[in-house]
Amino acid sequence: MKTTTKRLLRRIDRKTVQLLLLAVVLFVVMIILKGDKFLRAKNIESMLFQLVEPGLFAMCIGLAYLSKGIDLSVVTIANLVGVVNGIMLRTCLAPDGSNVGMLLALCVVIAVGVGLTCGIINAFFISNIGIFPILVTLGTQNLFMGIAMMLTQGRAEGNFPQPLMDFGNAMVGPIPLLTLLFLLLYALMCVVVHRTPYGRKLQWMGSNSKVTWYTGINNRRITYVTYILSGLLAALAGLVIMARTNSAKADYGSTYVFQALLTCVLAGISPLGGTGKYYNLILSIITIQITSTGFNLLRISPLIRDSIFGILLVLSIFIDYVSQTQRTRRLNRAAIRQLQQAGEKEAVE
Amino acid sequence: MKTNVRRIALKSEVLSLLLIVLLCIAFSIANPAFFHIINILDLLKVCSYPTIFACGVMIVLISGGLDMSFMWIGMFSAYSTSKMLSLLQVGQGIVMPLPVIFAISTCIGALLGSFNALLVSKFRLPVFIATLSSANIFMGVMFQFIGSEYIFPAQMPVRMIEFSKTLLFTTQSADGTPVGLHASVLVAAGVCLVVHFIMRYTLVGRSVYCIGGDEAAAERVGFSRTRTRLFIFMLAGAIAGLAGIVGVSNIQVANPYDFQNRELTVTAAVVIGGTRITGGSGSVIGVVLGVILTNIISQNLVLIGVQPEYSKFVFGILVLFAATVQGLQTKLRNRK
Repeated sequence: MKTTTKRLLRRIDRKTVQLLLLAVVLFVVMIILKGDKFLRAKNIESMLFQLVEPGLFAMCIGLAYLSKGIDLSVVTIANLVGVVNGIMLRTCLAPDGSNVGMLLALCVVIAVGVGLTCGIINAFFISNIGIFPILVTLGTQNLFMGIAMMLTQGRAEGNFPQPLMDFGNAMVGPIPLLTLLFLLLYALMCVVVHRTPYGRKLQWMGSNSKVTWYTGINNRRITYVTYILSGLLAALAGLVIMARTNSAKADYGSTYVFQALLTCVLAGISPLGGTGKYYNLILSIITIQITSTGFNLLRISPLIRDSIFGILLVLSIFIDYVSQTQRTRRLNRAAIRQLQQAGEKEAVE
Repeated sequence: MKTNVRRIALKSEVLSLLLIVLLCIAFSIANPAFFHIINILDLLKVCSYPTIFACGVMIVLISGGLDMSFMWIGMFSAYSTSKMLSLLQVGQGIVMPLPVIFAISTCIGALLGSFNALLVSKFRLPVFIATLSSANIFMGVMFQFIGSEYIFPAQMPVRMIEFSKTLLFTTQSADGTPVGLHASVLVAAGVCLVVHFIMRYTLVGRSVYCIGGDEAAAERVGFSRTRTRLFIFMLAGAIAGLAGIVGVSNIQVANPYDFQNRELTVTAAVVIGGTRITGGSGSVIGVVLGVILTNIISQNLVLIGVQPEYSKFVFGILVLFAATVQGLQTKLRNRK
C-alpha cells in the first residue's frame, strides 16, 4: 500500500507540487489579510477575467521556450490584429449595424491571417536564415509595432460594435465565457504538447536539435509549426483585448512580454529548451494573478507590484535550489550507506 | 590576396561600418544638413551613454548570457546617488566633486552586479532568467525604499549639471552659440579604451571569452567559474552604474522611468555590432559601431522627413537586415 502511494507521488512533477503549495499559501495569506474583500464574488470574477490575456501570452512563450527559442513579438502581433480589425470595423460597419455578424466573422478571419503571417515571418528568419530567435523576434516586434503605428498614426482604435462587447463580458454561470474558452484552449494545447508526435518532437528538438536532425526529424517543420501556433495564440489574445477593453492601440500592454517570460520560468519551463511541463503553466498564471490582485487589495503601490514577479521567481528558484541540494545530499548519504554495508559484508566474510 | 579580401568581408565589424557609410551617404543626399558639424557632435553626445551601457552588455554577452538588468542597475545607481547627494546639498550645503559622484554610482552598480553573480553562480540559473528577475527586484527596491519622484535640475548635484554643460574644443557657430565636443563623449571613449584593454590583453579578460566559448573547457584549463562570473557581473554592473550617472547628468533630470524598456534596443545594437549571442566572440569596436549605427537611424529619420511613427518600422527592418547578413556570414564561414 505504502509503496503504491509512494510510486504515485513520485510520478507527480516536483514543480507542480511546489507551485500548488505556493498558490495555496498565497491564497491563504490573502484570505487572512483581506478575506472579506478577496473572497467577494466580484473580485474572484475579475481575477478570472484578468488572467486570460497574460495566460495566452504565456502559452505562446512557453511553446517557444520548449523549442529553445523565444517569441518577443507576441504582444505586438495581438496589437496588430486589434488595430487592423479596428480599422476594418470603422470603415466597413454599416450605420444601422446590419452587417455586424459578417464583419465579426471577418474579424476572426483577419486575426487568423495576421497571426499566420506573423508566425511564418518569424519562423522563416529563424529556421531558413538561421538567426537567433531572440534577435528575430526583437526585430519583428519593432516591425509589427511599426506597421500598427503607420496604420493608426499612433491613435487608438475604439468603439467596437456592441455584440463584440457582449461576447467579451458574457458569463457562463459564475465563470466568464472568455475564461472558460481560455481554459478549453489551454487544455487542448496541453494535449498537443504532451500527447502528440509534434509535442514530443518539439521537446526533443528543444533539448538537442542536432540529435533530432540526425534522427531524421524535420526541425524546420517543427519550428514553423511552433511559431505559427504562437502567432495564432497571440492573434486570439488580440481579439480578447478588443472584446475586453473596447480599444486597440499599437503600443498596448508592453509589460505583458516580461510578465509572460517570467510566468513560464516560474512554471519551470526553461528558456534553454526541452525541459519543463506545459501543464504547470496554469498554476503559475494563477499564482501571479493571486499575488497581483492581492497587492492591489492591500493597496501596495503599483510600482512595486511589478517587482513581485521577480520576488516570486527568486523565491521559487530558491525553493528549487534547496530541494535539489537536499535530494543530492540524501542520495549521497544512501550511496555511502550502501558502500559501507557492502564493506562490512566483505569484512565479515 | 583573394583570401584576405574574403576574411575581411566576413568580419562582422565590417558590415556595420559599411552600413554606416551607406546610411551617411543616403542621409546626406536626402538632407545636406546631415554632415553639419552640429549634427555630428550631437550624434556623438546622444551615443555617449548608450555606448557605455553597451560595453557592459557586451562583456556579459561574450560570457554567454543575455543581461536584462543593466538598465535598472544604471537607473538604481544613478538615481540613488543623485538623490543622496541632492539631499546633502540642499540640507547641509555639501557639494561633492564630480569624480566622487561617479565613483559612488559605479560602486553601487558593482554591488548590484555581484547580486547577479550570486544568482548565476550559486543558484546555477541561466543568466537571462537571473537578470530578468533581479531587474524586477532592483526596480521594486528602488521605488519602495529610495523613491519614485523626479529630481529636477534645481535640486540636482551642482557638479552634475556643470558636467552636462561642459563642452570641449569649443568654437562659435554662426549665430553665436558655442559648439563643442560634449564631455560625456570623453567618458565613453575612456570606458571603451579600458574595456578594450581588459578584454584584449589581460588574463581575466581572456577568461571571459574562454567561459563564453566553452565553460567546461575553461574550467579544465583552470579558470574558476565562480570567480570569473563574479568579475564579469561586477564589471558589467560598475559600467552600468557609470553609464547611468552619465546619462542622468546628460538629461539633467533624474527620472526613474527614463531607461525603462530600452534594454532590448541596446542589446540589439551590441549584437548588430558583431557580438555573438551565444558567447565567446565580440569586440568593443564592433559595439561602438553598432551603437552609432542604431542611433544614426533613430536620430536622423526625422531629419530626412520620415514621420516618427515610421521609426519603429525602420528599426525593425534594420535589426532583421543586420541579423540576416550575420546569419549568412556564419553560414559562409562554416561552409569554408
